[in-house]
Amino acid sequence: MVLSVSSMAVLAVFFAGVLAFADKKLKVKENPKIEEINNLLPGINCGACGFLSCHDFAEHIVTEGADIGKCRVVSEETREKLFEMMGEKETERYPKLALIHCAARIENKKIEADYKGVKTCSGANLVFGGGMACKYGCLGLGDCVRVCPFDAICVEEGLAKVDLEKCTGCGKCISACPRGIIKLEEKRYEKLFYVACSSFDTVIRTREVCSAGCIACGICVKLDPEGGYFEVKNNLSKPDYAKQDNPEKIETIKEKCPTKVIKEG
Amino acid sequence: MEQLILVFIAASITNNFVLTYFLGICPFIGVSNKTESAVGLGIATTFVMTIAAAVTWLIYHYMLVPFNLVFLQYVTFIIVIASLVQFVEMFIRKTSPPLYKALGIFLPLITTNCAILGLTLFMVLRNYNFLEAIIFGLGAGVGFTLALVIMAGIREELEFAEVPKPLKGAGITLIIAGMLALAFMGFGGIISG
Repeated sequence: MVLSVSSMAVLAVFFAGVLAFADKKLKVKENPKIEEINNLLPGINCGACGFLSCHDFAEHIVTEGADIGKCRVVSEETREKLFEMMGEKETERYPKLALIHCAARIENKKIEADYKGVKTCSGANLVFGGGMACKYGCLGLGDCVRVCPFDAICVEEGLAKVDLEKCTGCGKCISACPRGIIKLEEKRYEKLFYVACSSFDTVIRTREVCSAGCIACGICVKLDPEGGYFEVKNNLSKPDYAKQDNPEKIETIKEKCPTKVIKEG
Repeated sequence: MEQLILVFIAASITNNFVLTYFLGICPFIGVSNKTESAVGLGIATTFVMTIAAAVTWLIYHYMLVPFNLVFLQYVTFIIVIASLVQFVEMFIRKTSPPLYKALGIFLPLITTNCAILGLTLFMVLRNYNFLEAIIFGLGAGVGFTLALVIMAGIREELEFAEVPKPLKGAGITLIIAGMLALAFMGFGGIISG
């Protein structure tokens, strides 16, 4: 007993000593700025900046002058501090928001079969959309909720909903959604209008499967043809995000939409 | 001398750790997508294997056996391997940051590479002498590198092949690993042991 414990202790001390010595000898000098910047970054490694981790991003900022503005998660003050530290000025950019392009709650959806499989959207999407008639709409099983690092998404009555206050536009939910109905849009003006539907189905089919979808009636186009705020293509209306500098006008169009599918983000 | 050559060839080719014992499959699949990093990890593993074989042989024969502590061999071997891997990690980080980045998590994971623990246990089981143990470690490392590099070469070519969608990525890699293992079984008759 004593022998076994003491022999293990001797071995452990010996190897610890060797490693401690090697650590001293082989120490890598890192630019102290990297650590400073890393401490200011949020440290959640969301990857929205395009780098592996916050530390990796900090390294690229210092060594290769990566754009600090790529981090959409840090607060305004911290970002200013970061720019100050690197002696750069921030170029103006707009916040990006994740918008769910579907408006169908449970009562709007037509369900053709009962889905009893794994409770994930990607699972349901594999077996004929989990019995949901619409091939494009939100499945409401919350893959995006689970992947969101900021707790900004919840599912309400079978429809994912983004808390735009909390959304940082990191884009994780975009790739998590098996139907690709979440899209990132820049909020350039005071208000952001979008069409909460992704269905390319014909009018008849859309009417049949969903009472909240875009039926491509074209009222949004006809109400202001010169403005060009909306465009109907492939049975779906699409707003021109660059032309939303006139919120009052779009507000009236929004009110006239027969299925109320134009939403404000 | 003849015995040493036999041990080397047996460890590296006929009884290749990856392709006949199926040890160390994790890095074999994980790091074999680029030849460069495959060679890097292969060399790192070879280094750890050779030194681990030598150090564990010494500890086993001059410490565990005389003091009747053979039951502690697993713990001891793991301590040796873990320390060595730590050392290699520091060394690579200092000398080659790009390789350090390319290997990523697989570098510290050499610690848990069962091929290395397997090597030390085989060495004890087969009663190798000191020189044989070192050659055995070296051979096993070379064999591991060989398997990794062959796999990486194939996978680089595979980028241009039309792989059925469900088999893309890990699926096709495992199938190829199986075929490679079959091919290596062909060497089985050359040397026994």
